[in-house]
Amino acid sequence: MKGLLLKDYYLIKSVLFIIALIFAIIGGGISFLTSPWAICIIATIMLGMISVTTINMDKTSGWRKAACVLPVSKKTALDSKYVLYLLLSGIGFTLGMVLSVIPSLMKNQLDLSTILLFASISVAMALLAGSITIPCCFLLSEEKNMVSLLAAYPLSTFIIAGSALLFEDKQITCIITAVLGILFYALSWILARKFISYRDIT
Amino acid sequence: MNHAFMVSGLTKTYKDFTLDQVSFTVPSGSIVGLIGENGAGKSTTIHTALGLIQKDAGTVSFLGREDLDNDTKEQVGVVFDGSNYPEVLSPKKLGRIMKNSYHSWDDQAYWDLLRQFSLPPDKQIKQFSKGMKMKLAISVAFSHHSKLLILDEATSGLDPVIRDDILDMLLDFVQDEEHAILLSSHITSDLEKVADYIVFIHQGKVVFSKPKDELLEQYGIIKCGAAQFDALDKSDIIAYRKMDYEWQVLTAHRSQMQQKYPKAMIVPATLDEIMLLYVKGETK
Repeated sequence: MKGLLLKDYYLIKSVLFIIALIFAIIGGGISFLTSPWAICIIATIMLGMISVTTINMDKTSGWRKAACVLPVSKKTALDSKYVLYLLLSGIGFTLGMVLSVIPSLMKNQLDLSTILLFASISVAMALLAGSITIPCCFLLSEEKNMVSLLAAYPLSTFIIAGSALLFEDKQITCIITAVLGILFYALSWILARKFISYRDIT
Repeated sequence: MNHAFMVSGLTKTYKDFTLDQVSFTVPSGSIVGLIGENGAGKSTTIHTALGLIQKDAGTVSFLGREDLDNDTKEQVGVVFDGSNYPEVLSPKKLGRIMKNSYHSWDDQAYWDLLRQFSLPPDKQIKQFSKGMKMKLAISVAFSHHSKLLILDEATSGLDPVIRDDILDMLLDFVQDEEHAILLSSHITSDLEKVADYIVFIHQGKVVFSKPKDELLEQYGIIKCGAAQFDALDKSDIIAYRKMDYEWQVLTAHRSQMQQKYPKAMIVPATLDEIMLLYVKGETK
């Protein structure tokens, strides 16, 4: 898996400047307009999304065929994408937290409930979306996959909003959706190992 | 005789194509050429054998093992048709990836091949020509101490000089009796130069699997007119084609036919001609 992750690192490195620029513009803008904590959600989602784009890059370059003859199983190749998603989302989350804490500290607005709220939303959004986009990227063509990418985030928002309507307490809502995200992601991973890893690579 | 690679009854059915009970072997110490027209099933055979495509039936063995597990993959070098590496990578970065993928990776061998093929180590693959990409894939296949090489159209897109160098490398490779190569190619002249056996696939079926020397020495083409063609014993005919001014008849026993039809002009058949007559000719 080390070789596969190293390949993804090189792919990500090649688009890192553009991602950083988009992140600076969108993250900076939204956090300025709303709350500095919005940057935590954006960083987690954006970095997670990059790992999904590497699946498409693998498809277009034909790497999936090359990876199939490397001394790694098809399941390991699939696992590497789920691991990468977690790694990048984790990095994004940590980076977002740091970037959010600094302005909050400067404004003296740091409180635990806000941290918990945004942290939960970040985890829930990233994992719920990842549980949809990763398998869709493997299963669908590039065009159809764009639809899954566009649908995954509104769907995740819908789940969070739906939970907020069910439970009055914001924090409980966010914790429940974060747990839901973890469960969905685990389920997506298990099902992908069972069904996607055996699909033909053409 | 040990078989480095064996395919038996390999079957895969699509809506519009069936790979039908394909069976052949690649003996150790030999090069087997896989020929056939576009869409005949050469790549499907290779992809199915390698597990990229799920087979419907049949068995495949690599170096005496039924499963292509990770240990076996270490010893199997594969080159697919076209580039299969991300274009943003460079040979140097690809080498690092492979080093972290293969336990048996030989960095020195890889760098020697990059130098031999004049491949710039730091240049992105997207700036490479088709031939350079193919050379890179071959360099990778040769750099992890493979015992079996599976090359799918590996010499296509290369100029005759470098193709010749690669064919020499293949011949060197099989000097070791434990090594073997399955080489699928449209360029039958390459196979005439290096292959020990020829497997001909047509419409998803193996038409024949024979030693190359037997094909080139025993097969022949009877060139004759209509009257002579009518006089031929139909059991002597494998396939025939009516050309503008003559009939071309493929036969599997050139010298016997020369004795049987002393007035007929019988010429040796090339692999190209054998393939053409099988594909485009008619059978009686």
